[in-house]
Amino acid sequence: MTKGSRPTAVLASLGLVLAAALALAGGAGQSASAPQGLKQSWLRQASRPATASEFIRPARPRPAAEVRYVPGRVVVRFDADLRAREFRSLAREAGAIAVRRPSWADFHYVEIPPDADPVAAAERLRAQPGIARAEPDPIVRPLWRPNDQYFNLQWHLQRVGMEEAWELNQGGSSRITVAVIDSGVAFVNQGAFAQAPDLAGTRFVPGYDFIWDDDVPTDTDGHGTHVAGTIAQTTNNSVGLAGIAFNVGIMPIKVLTSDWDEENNAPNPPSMSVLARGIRFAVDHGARVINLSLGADAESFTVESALRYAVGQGAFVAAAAGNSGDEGNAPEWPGAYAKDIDGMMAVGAVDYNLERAPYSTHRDYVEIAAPGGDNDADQNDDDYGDGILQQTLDPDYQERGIFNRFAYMFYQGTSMATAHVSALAALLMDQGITNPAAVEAAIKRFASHKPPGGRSDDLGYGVIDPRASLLGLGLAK
Amino acid sequence: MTRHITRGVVLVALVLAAVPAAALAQQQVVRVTAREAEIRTRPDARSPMIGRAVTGTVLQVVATERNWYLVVIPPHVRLVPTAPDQGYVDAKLVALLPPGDPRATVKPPATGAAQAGEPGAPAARGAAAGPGLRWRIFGTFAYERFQASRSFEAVYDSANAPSFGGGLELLAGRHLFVQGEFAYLQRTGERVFVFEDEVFPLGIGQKLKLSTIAVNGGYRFGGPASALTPYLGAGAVVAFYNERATGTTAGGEDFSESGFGGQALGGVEFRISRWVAAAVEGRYRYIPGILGDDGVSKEFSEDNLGGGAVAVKLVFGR
Repeated sequence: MTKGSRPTAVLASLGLVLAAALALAGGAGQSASAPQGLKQSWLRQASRPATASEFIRPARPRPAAEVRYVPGRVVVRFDADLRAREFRSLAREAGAIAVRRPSWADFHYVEIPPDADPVAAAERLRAQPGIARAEPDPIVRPLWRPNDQYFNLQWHLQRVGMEEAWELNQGGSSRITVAVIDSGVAFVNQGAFAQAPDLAGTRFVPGYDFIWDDDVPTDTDGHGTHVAGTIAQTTNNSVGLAGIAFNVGIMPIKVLTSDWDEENNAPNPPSMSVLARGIRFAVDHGARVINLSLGADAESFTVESALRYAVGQGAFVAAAAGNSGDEGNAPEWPGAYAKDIDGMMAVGAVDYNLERAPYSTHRDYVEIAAPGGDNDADQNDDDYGDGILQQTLDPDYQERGIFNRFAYMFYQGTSMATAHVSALAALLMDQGITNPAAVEAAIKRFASHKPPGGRSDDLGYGVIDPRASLLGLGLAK
Repeated sequence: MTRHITRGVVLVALVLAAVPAAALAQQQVVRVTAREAEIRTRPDARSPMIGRAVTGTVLQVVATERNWYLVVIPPHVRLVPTAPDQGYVDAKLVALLPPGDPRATVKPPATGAAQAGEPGAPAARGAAAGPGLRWRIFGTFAYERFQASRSFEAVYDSANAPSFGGGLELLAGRHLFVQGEFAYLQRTGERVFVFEDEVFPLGIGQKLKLSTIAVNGGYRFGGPASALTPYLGAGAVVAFYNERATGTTAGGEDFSESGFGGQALGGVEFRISRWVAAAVEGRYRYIPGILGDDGVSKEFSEDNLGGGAVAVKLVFGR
């Protein structure tokens, strides 16, 4: 049987099987539905599949803690009858270093030590008699914010500062191709398959289906489409959601199966040797970044060799660390290879608070962390579980073998975190860091939330900081 | 003031009394009429210059040779102390004074560092005024070579940079000087990432502004009328450093810092005219505390914002 011919009877029976499998997965987590050998690192569906109409709600203001102020100064207006000597003396009493009046201004800058808190300093100054106004100086930035309908629900992009990062590199360029080696991607309208509407403006480059041995690697699961969306969802199109590196090319490569693929006797199983072939195909066809949101319980020389080939050819690899953090914390491959390969990173997942998500595997090979979400928590009070939201196959239809219906779904897992790192790597490659080992070094160097001692099994070298990574270094800072 | 004048008059009287009137009458003397008269080793305009006398200087004639006078070179007119005490002056630059002319007196310099021979200058004024203090101003163009060369080359393409500045100098007597100098330089470059010594430019503009204020003191070699005056000095430097990414507005990338350092310098000054001189100067600065804690300079372990420089100075003042 091929992907193009699907008898209705088969689809109906498959729908029942998938429905049962999803019911099990919802109760027992990823291990209940994980196939043997190569498996998706986490595919726990949102407990409440959400449709677009449910998301409409008032925009929330940013938390006060995220407001950024110019360090080292407070803006002050002195009482009009105060003389220069008096207000200098006044400011010094409140801890100021100097006072100066900039040109074209009806206010003064009161300079404070660079490491002093400008908010607290402004409060101290306000308490002084003779000072009419005193406030910290908020940093102004261009308000480029994608106009995608549900961007306000993509807390994971806002928490890592993507709006500020896009100021430096707005989504990368078509020079960079990211291979999404996964369950395929809903990238094309062909036969019973449809392209996800919010991937309509995404650039795709030819990939391959190593499960069905053809060149149409469509998605029968939804996982690969979700991952591809985080990397390069069509952005600023007033529809749906945003991706991180939305101008890069996506190369879909299918090495994972869904229940539907297996029920229909797909000729190739999802195995490490098949994955190795997929990696080599991607590298030989121009991929500069390889996303591996998957894992297996055992290692394989075929994959290790392919990974070394990939970085040797100039491709960066991001691999999921695994989702057994709260269930045995067993190692996963290929992620576990990362600590020995420069140019490859194993990615752990963090929640809304940028702390290790409970499921995220925490072992010595974890090198970086990124938002992977936690559907069981609602720390941002948006009335939804804190998963990673992207458009993908609608599970209500997918489980019945229908692959042309789509929904916005909250997923969680190191798979989702890995997509963030791949997308950042693509932006860095586009920015000019062409060596995969240097990309890895840059992501580590500029990570935020660095653990004490520089590294931990929970977060690796910290949480990705896209803006800092893209900004790089000046002479002294 | 009255006491100084009285003392001067007495000294002049003593000097005049010490000079036999007969000797004055018999000596043949010339007076410099040109703005400056070069005194040379041979009666040839291409021969080496060993003295230089300004308008009004009176020189004692030893002999006449074609259109040249062989004259006694007063010490204050000699360019170097080791020069011969006689030399040739072109007759076109001087006028022979008739015997008995009251101006026909070979005089010492009017002040410690000034050249002698001002018409009518009291002979004893220099002795009364002592070495004197003179203020001068100068402008500087320098070509800096930063010690943190790898860091500068990574971000700003080059470790060299021109700077401009100026300052005020106080000469104390013939040999000592103190000066304050301000200098400014600006560079534009590109932010980078460095990995294992490989530099990756990131296409994000970066701008550096560096201002320095230096206070130097030193010693000037050579006599007051020397054409070339070598000097050596040392001083303290305060550097004001600002670096920021350009084309971005999210902020947080500005970096301003100040630091103290020291410098040593040496150079040669040569007089172009009575009021203008030029100097070529070399110097080395050491300014720690600004670089090395972060940024590319940390990657390359370079913490000195100073370095070497060659400067050309234009000095106004005597």
